[in-house]
Amino acid sequence: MGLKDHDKDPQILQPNLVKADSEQRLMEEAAPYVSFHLLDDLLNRARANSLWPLTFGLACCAIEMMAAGASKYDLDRFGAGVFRPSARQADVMIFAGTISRKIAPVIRALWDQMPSPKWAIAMGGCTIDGGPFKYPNQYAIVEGADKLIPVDVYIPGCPPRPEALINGILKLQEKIKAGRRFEA
Amino acid sequence: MKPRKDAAALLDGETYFLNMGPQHPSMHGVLRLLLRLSGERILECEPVIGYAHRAHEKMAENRNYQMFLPNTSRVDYLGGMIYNLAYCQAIEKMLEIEVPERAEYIRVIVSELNRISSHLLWFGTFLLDLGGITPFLYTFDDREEILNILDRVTGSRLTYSYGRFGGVTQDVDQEFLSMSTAFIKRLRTHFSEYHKLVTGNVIFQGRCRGVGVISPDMARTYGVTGPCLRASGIPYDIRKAEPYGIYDRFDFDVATRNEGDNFARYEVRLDEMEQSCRIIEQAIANIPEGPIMPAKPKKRFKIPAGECYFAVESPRGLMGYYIVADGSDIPSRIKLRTPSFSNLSSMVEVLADTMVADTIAILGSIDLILPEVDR
Amino acid sequence: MSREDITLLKESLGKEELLRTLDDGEYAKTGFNYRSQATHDAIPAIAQIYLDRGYFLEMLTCLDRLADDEIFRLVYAFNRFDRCERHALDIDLKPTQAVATISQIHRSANWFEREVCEMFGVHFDGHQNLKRLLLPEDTDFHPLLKDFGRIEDAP
Repeated sequence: MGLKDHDKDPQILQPNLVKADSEQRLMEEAAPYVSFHLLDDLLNRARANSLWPLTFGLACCAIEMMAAGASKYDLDRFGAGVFRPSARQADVMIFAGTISRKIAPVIRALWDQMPSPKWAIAMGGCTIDGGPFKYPNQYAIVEGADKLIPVDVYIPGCPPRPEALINGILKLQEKIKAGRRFEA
Repeated sequence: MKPRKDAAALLDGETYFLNMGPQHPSMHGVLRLLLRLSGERILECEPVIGYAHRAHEKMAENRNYQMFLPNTSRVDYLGGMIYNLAYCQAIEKMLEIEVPERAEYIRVIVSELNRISSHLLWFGTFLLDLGGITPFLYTFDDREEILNILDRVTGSRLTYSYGRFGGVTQDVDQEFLSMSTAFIKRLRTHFSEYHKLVTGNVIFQGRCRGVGVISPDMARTYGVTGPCLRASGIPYDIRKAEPYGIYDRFDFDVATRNEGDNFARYEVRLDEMEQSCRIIEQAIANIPEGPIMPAKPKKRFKIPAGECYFAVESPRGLMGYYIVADGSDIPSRIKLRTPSFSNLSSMVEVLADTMVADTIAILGSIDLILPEVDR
Repeated sequence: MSREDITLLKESLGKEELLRTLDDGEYAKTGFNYRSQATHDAIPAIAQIYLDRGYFLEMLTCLDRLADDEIFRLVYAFNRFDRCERHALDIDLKPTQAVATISQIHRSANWFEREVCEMFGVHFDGHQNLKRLLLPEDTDFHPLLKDFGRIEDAP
């Protein structure tokens, strides 16, 4: 397994991976033959306000994700507190932690198990581009979650505070509804 | 994920394989267990690790001694302060740098606060694994208070780079000391709440008493250390066996139990939190005024050729840095001896004759951090 | 181990040259109470003696000294629970030389040896399961070798 060409590594990526812009993808997937505008709006609001994340903490960011779901920074008030252990019941996959080469096929399998519509949040520096573990010619990690799946929201930090994760979820909600939660 | 090469030979119609992980509901992290079951009874258990391998040891050979500091917290992020300060102490030992008194006391206070926060998180997630969600919310509330206190001083909540070779970066103020004192007082009242909530619970007792017994001999052959070892009756604590820093000045007990089951490990950790509170109080009472870094701190760290092994007591057990220097400012090798690696290897034997339902309880009670196992 | 015990260890091994003391009592500098060096065929006997005397295997690692001395150096660290007696044992191996496993004696060596094998390529004879531990199973390189994955070789 080469060091640099994990982009082309069939073990990690399925062929025909669409690394498209997420908004584009959203529009393509949701392109209906007939548009029930108000109903779409209603469904999007429903989806945004009850995002069910997948419990998939990988490393340090997982602790901050747990803290975000706990009593002080309650995620449940945004509807996103119901962490589902099964990918088939989850809407959003929060990548919390460094992605090693060994877990990359597992991540791809989980992503494929999630039913559409689904979203992905890359939490922490490691999932954005490898973070503190990135150095030239490294052998162990995948430098960024967007090398595996299309990411919707990136939350920088090492680890990001729970408030940052909440901000990221609110941004995702904005994206889903194509509007802000509270009128500015 | 490919099937085992010997699968055909093992498929005898009486047993079957269950793959647990690396993604599953429990809280211990990206661990994969290959279980061979007969009904509900586990016949054979093979842990597959490496899903959080981030090449810390290779990175240590690519950067100089100061640049490795951020890595140290991320090896075990729940004991990040302890790991960070241990690395600083190892380098100070090799270079014979003297640490000012005030910095030593600060190090003890923040390390013990870190230990309490790690045990609180363990408490919450252990109960979460067993099915009780409420203690998780209670302990995280206490833990947030600790993180708030440490955040004021270090700037981070989880992965600290607070230590420097010779001392610490920021001084603590009176506000920090009074917040810590108030927190200890508050935590002590919460201990009785936790006991009331959890300890006597029939389901908790049923899932923990007599389950996952690690005998002292097994602990020795597998190199188990920390609360898992102390719950099996061996009072081995690095802070007492080879005191580092100024731990020999503090009066505290080593929490021990004899049964070696999940319940014993639970009780040991609760006792350890109480002992950490004692240490913090003594440290706050005796902290002197003074500088927090040596008068003439070194800027360049070239360590003469040699090696050093430095061990500390992390919340999970004996953590050792084995640093081999070659005279330059880049380490020749840094080996991280992490407690969870050896503790998890004992699971092959402990889980070999238990029920599937007990697996989660036992793994939870061991208190694993997978990035520490995988480095 | 007291001075008498170390002498006993050497005597029970039978041959004086199997175990050579490197330093004794340098704990304040190195963290080891006693450091010794042994030949690679002595390690199972030494490990058994340490187990019988109440020690546990604290650490087993390898140092890549191919550039300087053309050897791999295995470092075993044994310690006790009742007092701090950390003993380091160095075994120097030629690049393709294998060493006997001690995983049947000290069970913790099972994973330590697997890790050394995958990171450095050192083979342990008699180990029942010497496959990859931390890296994906089909990995074909040994990452902790000094000439692997150097930053200056990055494309």
